[in-house]
Amino acid sequence: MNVRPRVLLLAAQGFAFGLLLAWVTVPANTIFLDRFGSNLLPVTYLGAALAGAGTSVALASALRRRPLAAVAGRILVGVATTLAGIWLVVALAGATWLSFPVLVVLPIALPVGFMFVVGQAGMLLDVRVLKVLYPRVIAGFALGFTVGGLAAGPLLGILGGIEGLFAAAAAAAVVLLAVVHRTVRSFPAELSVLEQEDEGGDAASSDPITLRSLAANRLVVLVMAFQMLSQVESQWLDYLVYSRAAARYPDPTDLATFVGRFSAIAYGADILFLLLVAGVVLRRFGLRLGLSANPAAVMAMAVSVVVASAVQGSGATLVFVLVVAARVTDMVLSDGTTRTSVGAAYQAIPGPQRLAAQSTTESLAVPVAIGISGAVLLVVQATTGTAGPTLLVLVAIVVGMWLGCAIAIYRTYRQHLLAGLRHRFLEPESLVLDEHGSLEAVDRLLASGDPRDVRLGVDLLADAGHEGAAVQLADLVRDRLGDGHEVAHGRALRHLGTLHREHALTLAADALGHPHPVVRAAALETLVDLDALEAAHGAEALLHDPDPEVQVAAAAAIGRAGDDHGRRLVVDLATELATSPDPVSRTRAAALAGAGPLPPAEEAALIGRLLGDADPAVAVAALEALSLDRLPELAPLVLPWLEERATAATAAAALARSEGARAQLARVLDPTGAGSTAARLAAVRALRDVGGPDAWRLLREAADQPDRDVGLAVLRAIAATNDAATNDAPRPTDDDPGRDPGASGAEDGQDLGGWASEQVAADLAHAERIAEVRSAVAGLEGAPMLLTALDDELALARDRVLAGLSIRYGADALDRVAFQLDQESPRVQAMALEWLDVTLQGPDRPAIALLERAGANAGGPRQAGSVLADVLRDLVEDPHGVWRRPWLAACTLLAIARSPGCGVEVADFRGFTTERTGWAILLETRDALLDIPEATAVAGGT
Amino acid sequence: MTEPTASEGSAALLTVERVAILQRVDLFRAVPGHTLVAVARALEELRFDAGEVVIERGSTEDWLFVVADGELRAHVGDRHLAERGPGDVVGELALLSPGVRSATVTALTPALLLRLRRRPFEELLEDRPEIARAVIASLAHRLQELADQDAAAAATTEAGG
Repeated sequence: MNVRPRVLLLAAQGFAFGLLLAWVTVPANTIFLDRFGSNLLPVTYLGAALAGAGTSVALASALRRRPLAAVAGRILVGVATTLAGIWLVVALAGATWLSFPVLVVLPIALPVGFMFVVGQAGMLLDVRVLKVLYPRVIAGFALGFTVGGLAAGPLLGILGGIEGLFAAAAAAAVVLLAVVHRTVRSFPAELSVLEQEDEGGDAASSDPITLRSLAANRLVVLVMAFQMLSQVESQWLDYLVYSRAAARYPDPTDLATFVGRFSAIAYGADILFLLLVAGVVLRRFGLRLGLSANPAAVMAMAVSVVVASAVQGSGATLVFVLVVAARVTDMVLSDGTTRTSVGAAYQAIPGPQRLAAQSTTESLAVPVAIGISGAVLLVVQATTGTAGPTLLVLVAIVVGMWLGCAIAIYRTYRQHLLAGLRHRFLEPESLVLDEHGSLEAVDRLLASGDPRDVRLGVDLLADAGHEGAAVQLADLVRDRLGDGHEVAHGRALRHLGTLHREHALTLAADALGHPHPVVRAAALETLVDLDALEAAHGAEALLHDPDPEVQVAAAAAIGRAGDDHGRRLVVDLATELATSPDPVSRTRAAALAGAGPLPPAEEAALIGRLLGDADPAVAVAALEALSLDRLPELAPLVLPWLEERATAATAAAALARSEGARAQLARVLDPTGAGSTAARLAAVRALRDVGGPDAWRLLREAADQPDRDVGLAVLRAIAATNDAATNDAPRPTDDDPGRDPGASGAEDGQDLGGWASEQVAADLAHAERIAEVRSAVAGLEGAPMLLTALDDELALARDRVLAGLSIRYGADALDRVAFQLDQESPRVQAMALEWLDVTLQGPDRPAIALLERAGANAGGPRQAGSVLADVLRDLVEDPHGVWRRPWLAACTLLAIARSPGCGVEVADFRGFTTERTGWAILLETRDALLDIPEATAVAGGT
Repeated sequence: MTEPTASEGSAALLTVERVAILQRVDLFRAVPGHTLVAVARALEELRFDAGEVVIERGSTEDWLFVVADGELRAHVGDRHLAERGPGDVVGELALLSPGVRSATVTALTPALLLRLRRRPFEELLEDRPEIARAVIASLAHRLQELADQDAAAAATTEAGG
């Protein structure tokens, strides 16, 4: 996305808007003061509140029907026509009273105008770009206002009177209309849609947006309060400046000179700050400073004014200078940091609500605040007077509240950003059959001829916990689940076991003789689950059932409730099957042995024998059946299966299930050990699945893996187990999906955050190293393969950084961020980056730059020969042990061979040998490139 | 299963070069090179002359070919289906669902192909879910191609009829 034309057009809109406002402000104020005097000014503030309410209703209605830019266009046509009319009426009929309604509307014009500009900016720029470049748009406004103010004097002569400036303002409105039109034509896709259609159109089905629904959004309420407090403070400071200036400069010429200088200083500082400082400050310090800088600075100034007036009296020159300085500071920071930050904060409000929140805040809440400020001024005027400290103290109080509001917005902004990052997971939800329609749907499923429908109906009925579910299930089992519905029959029996013991016992006992094995097995399992010990007697008969599932259920029943005779029967059957030449029979033997506790010696002999089976499928069954808590002596037989691809996961799970055997997994994961990658990964997954403090501790001890891929799995497993532990603990607030950095539900969590940051820092350093090498070799003719390999390394570093951050800031939040970062839309990515920007702390913050530039690794210029040669040599020889071996070295050799004149040759590595096995690819590559006939024989793969 | 009759002389490509070829294939684009080394080692290099049949319609096989060099044509009898060149894959359906080949593939030019059998591919699928996603995308693309061809053929028939 090329943002330059977008920002230019928005800045042009700002400039034209500045001209328009300046050429309305000057004549309106002059004519009003001449006709009515300054005492009526607070009354215009009250009028602004009423006008604002009307404007808000009209805007909300218009924005529901038309796109933002179209509404802006229509308003501008109206503004231009009205201003031209005012000019004619004032010039021809001397209707100076018109300055009153103009001054009433004027305070609304600024926020509403900016609402249109911010609204378009939100559609044209993502939140990250907006934060950095929006100050330039505001600078356009400030420049327009300054130019308009400076040009007002010369224009008076040309236009033949002060009212002629209304004609100039009408012309500026036409110019602004043309710029808006041009912007819409340049970016129709973004600007010609209704805001509520945006963001995937999911708003179409949502409820209408009302003031009540907006008030339910904490961020909207806080932004509204922030803007209102800001407006009250500005109005009062403005009043203080002008009332004290009027007192100090009774001569109109002196007053005009002061106002001119004040405006020049204020807008000059404003423009300089906007162009030189604002973007840098916001990019570096983000919204935290952007929102709080203005209230904090004004607070400092207000306190100094209060102190100075207490010491020197409120009429002192120092007090006046400080009041003016406070207002200038307020104007500069308001334009430089506050407007942009509030604009960014609006982006965290869900699309359908965003524009409604903006229009309500700017066209209703702000005018109401102006009205309140006017009412308070009238009260102060009538009581203590505005010359004393009362108004100053009120300013300080309001600014204090304003600062508190800024801090609250910042915290809420982070939460809203995260909530706005769409979740990719399907959240499981319980079904609640609380409506007649739902029950009818279940009845229809149960009456269906399709066994799958019936099965689903049975599950829904049981899961819903409906009052009559047990009776209905019992009826189903008795009468309706006939041929073809055996699976549903079995499930109904199991569900009954949890819902109604008596029904379940009777029906399960009857079902032991059912012709279908699925029903027989389910009946047996249900009886065992209900501790119906008499079931064991029936189980002995079923031990030789032709169906394996029934056999295993019978063995489980006997193991749990049977006697020695029954267990002897199970051992005999399993032993017979274990000696069968048929691997399926041997697999069944393992299942029988693992079904229920058998005499330890026989169980150990059986499973031990099956663990030695050459068939991996039999070994998997034996590993699944094995309980190392009961048979710890079999642990050594498990270890070899860790090295087999087909059995590694099951073997690791068998070790992880037993607290005493988990130490074996620690040995597999020992960074200095010889465990294969498959074994290490299986161990990590098993520990992650078993969870708990013990697994968590072993994972953390294993974090420093030589293979970064395995290390990534370890980091992710730590994040997952830590998140699970944290989720078990009560959260601080229900609506806070993030986590306080360093918080951990796992044991030893107090230093986990710091440890995770160390991991992140190490990976960031590695990523920096990769980027430097990538830049150095990018110009090589033969580098494509090496560049791809380095990109893979960079992607891995990025994933590791995300995993490290997951440990510190929560796996759920970072999963969402990672998902958003992988999306193609820059706007979506920007939201994720913005969340990182307002969330990551201290040493973790450099991660944002890595995540932001991932995938955009532009190569630098070709490096000088000596530097390049050193880089290539370092990649092949890896004296510091930082590169992925041997893959990167092999790719580097290929690059060297295909890039003559790179300063190093493959032959330079003729004497290079490796003591490691598994590096065949490196030696094969080197020897083939050197044309050595027979590649060096090295065992193993990579 | 029928084995190709093409020459299977000594390997002409380094493992690194095979990885480079695999990374040009959509199915494997998202897989890091070092992970593909194991797949690259399992590849067999086969050379075909122009006009030689690479895949025979009706034969039962469980491998795919990656085109390292040359041009191939997929067809059913005289009906042209598609052309494939370097970086393309032919026969991936057989890897997912071994069965009868649905089309014949013939070399248009001398071609160097890399044959990948089912076992290493399945191991890769287990390790890298992104390959499964790429396979689904590739199949969807292939289905779309076939649907388009059917629609075009139907339109031609109607126009001619």
